[in-house]
Amino acid sequence: MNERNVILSRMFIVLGLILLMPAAIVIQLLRINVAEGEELRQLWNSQTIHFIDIPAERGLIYDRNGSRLVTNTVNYRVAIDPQAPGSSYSSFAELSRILSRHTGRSARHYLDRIEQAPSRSRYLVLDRNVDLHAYEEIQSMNARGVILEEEYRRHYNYGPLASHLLGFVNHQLAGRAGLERSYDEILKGEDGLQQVRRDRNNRIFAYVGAPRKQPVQGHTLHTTIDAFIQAITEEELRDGVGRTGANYGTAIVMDPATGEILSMANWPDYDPNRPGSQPEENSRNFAVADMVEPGSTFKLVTALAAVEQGVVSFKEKFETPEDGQTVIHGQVMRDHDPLGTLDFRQAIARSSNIAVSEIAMRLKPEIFYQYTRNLGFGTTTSVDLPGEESGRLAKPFEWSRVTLPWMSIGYEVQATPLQILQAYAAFANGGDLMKPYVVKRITDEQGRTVQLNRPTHIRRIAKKETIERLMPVFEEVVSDSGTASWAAVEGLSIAGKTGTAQKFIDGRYRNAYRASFVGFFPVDDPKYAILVMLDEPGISFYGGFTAGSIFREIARRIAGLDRRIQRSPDEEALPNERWSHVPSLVGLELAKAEKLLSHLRIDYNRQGSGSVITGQEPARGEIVEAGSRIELILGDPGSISESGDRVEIPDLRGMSMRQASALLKRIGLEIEMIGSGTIYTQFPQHGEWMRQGRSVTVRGKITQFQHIESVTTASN
Amino acid sequence: MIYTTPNSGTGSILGTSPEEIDTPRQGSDRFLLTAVIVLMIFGVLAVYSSIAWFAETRGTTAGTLVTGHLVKLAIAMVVMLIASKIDYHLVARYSRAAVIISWVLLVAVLIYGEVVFGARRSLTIGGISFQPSSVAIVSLLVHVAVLLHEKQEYIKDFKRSFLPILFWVMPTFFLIGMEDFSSAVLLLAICLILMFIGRISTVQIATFVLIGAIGAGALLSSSDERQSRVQEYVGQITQINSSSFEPGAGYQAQQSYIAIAQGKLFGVGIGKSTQRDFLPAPYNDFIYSIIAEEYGLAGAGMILLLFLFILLRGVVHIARNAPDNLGILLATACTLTIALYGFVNAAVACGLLPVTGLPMPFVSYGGTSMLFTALMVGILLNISKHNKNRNSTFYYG
Repeated sequence: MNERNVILSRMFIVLGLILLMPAAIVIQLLRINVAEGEELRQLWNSQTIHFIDIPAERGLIYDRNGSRLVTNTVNYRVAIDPQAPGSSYSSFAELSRILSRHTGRSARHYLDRIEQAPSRSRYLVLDRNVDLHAYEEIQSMNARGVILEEEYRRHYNYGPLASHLLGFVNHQLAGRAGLERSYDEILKGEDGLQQVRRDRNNRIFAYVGAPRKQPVQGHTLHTTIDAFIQAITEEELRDGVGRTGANYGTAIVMDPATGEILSMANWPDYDPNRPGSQPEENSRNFAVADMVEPGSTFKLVTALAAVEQGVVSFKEKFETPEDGQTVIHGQVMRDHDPLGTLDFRQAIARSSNIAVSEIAMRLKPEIFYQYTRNLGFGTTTSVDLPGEESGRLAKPFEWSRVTLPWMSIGYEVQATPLQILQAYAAFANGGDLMKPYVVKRITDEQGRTVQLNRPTHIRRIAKKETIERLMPVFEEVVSDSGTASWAAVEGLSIAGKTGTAQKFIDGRYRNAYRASFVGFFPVDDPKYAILVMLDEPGISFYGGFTAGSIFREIARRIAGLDRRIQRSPDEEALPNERWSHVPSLVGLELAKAEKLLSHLRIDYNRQGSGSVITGQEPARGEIVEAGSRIELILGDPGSISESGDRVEIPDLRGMSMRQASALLKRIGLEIEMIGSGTIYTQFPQHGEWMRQGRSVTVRGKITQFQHIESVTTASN
Repeated sequence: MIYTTPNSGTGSILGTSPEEIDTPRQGSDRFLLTAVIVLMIFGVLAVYSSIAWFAETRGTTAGTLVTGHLVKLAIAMVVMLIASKIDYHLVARYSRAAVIISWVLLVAVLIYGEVVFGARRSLTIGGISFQPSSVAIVSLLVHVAVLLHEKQEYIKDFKRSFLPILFWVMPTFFLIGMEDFSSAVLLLAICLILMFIGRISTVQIATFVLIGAIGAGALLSSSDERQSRVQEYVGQITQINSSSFEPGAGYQAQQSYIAIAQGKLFGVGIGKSTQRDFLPAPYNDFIYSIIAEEYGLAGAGMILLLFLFILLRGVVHIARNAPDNLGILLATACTLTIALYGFVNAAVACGLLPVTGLPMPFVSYGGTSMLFTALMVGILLNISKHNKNRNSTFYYG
């Protein structure tokens, strides 16, 4: 038994030694828990607790009537991690089938992508644009290795509508242009924070009771934009730019009383939903960013200054040279045509550079400069849009001897289209220069108003009497005797001014023009001030013709929307079943007149004999009921008024293109047609005299089409 | 209640009836069994809490894996029962053959084995996967005990005792050491301790250990990588303050410290561990850290106490009262193995030892460690039935 005792004693020695181990472990446990515990727990916090952003929703943008122009959408991106543990090809195949059901692409398409992916790839995007249904279905699969990501996007509900006003955002939803940029801080809100736990694979676990900071949602903008007017403006500008062959064009509609911008359009435009897909130039807002020499529209400044300073009398006559040009301090100043003797009204209405500069030179440069400044030139309008230019206005001491005469007709000064419109709006509202603005009201999440932008009065531009005296002058511009007869809308009183500025490129005035028209209506109580500017229109450089006709279309359609604007219904009405305008029949062959009249359901009596109609009763444009009779006076073709090689232009309105073409050819004129169908406007106007061989431009529209259009306009 | 006596004739499931037992007239040690079962319960809870991520990488759920764990525990209980029924003298008779078979299996695993966690350890025979090293450990320890018992008359003889025993130990040591160095070292240590208890000359053992230490030192200095691991280990023990750790190095120990510190006195609660996401193999190597986090110092101390209890029960009660030297040696071998595996695992979690990858018996997830520890408990239970000193127990009280 000695052996046994030795073994047992050795066993207890070993036991004693081994007992040191748990003792050491206990000491170590206490050491970790007590001595180092705090620091280690701190370390736990730093490695486990993380904060993630809760994105704030970007604010919306509404138009003045409450139409939502900009909203937010969420898209889902589907990606896979082929290396993910637990992922299987069969689950990816199932995923492909679900995707193909929702996206219309074949399942094979997705499987090919999966199979052709680099073998080490851990992130493979299958589709970026998956809707909620597909998202939910994929989520319910609960397959491993499938990555679903939310992608917030900005959606511009009407695509390119008001794109230059609204602007666009980049992929991180930061505003890059337009209101999105100028109001970026207000729109974006403030992201919230959520405390989460994160494991070593960086997977995030939200947990109950975790501290979080709620996001402050972006504020909503209620703008002055009128979506209808914006649509009209854009449509007419687009048509106009296309028709005139201009490089680009810009149009602005403003409420002259308040400075609210109702619409602002540029053509070419772009789709802010896909800002990258169009040339960058398209997203440029020329209305505020383009500095141009205004040309004749600037004569407003001269007129105001001259009349208020009393340097010109309305009765005064201005003799302009026979050849339509004169030399001022060694520089040649031309009128567009020799205009003969003019009074002050005609000088403005027919836009005589020679007469206007003569008037301006009676003013001191400082005085003229002061009026220019007062009308807002030389400084930014401070409109709430990004990228605005201040224009360029030299101070009097920098002027040369020819600066004053040339500035008086809109050269040697640069202004943005918005500045020009702002000046005319001030003129329209009786002399109050208003700050233009786009955002009326800013509301928060609950719809409470956080900021209200009221109309801002900047200064008076002139005495009320001055403006009242000048108003008829500018109204005359938009009359048959003015340069802007093309801007006239029947039944609507419009005042305005044309502008045709030669472009100054590389230190020289070139044979390239900027045509503009700026006007407002109704004259008694102006509700709308509109500017249209075209860069290098191809068919004619006269602002009255190119920009003026765009103005007319915009004005006509806006007036149709606004109940406050009264127009005599017969002026506006179009031929229909019950009544029609009497067409101009003078100069037509009888057979053709018969055909036209039967088409319009008008009977007639013949007086005299001959093959051509030389007179009619009632006159053209009168309204007659269907079935009533008119008198036609017949005669020989030679009896139609002709004087030498100059002919009087007949009234072509109401005729078809073919009739007009035949008639003009017979009296020795060419025809230039825009559109088709019944002619409703022409240039030059009837009654004017024109050399044979020149061409008359006519614009026609299909009657039926006009009906449809008026219906859609009404239902807008 | 649970202390049923073999003579009452109404033994419980694990109890024994007098008819089945040859010489001993005594039930197996229920205290030991209870400690093992409590450890298993802790283990199931901790494994369930910590295995979720591993389950995900396997494309399955924690529930499935825990169910598997429970099945393995049941198998372990059956193995324990069967082993406790087999007289340890009978086991001793076949130990030589068992060691030789284990060598064959270890060689086979090196050639045909499946790779688990980067090491070739597992062998599949007839659809059942197991690690032969567990069989090898048990059979070697039994055989060493048997050899010591046989050689007691000339035990101080270097050639007739020390060398023959070493002849059996070293092949197993090297074969296991090829793939699982820590297990092999622990096995060698236990064998040497057993030899010391079995009256082998202390000088001989000390000389052997000295030679081994010099060899190990030479091996360490020959490789920069090994040196840096040693330095990392030294740093890990001397500086718990984690800010001084380099990123990467000492990551595991650092995360384990954080888990233990996070647990404070009573832990963060069942299943609420967060460090399971940061610790490697939290269901196995670092299960002690998870227990310390979820149940605090109280839970961690409880585990230590359970292993301490098994150690004391095995040594003081079962080994001391064993009827013969073979019983003493065999009981000591089994007890020491179980306790040392438990303590080493806990010491690794506390950063006292470098990361070894040794499981915590009955607690860690994994069937193989369960199998050989269950076998050992079974042997212990069988020895406990042969209690020499009947009066020293209260089974008859």
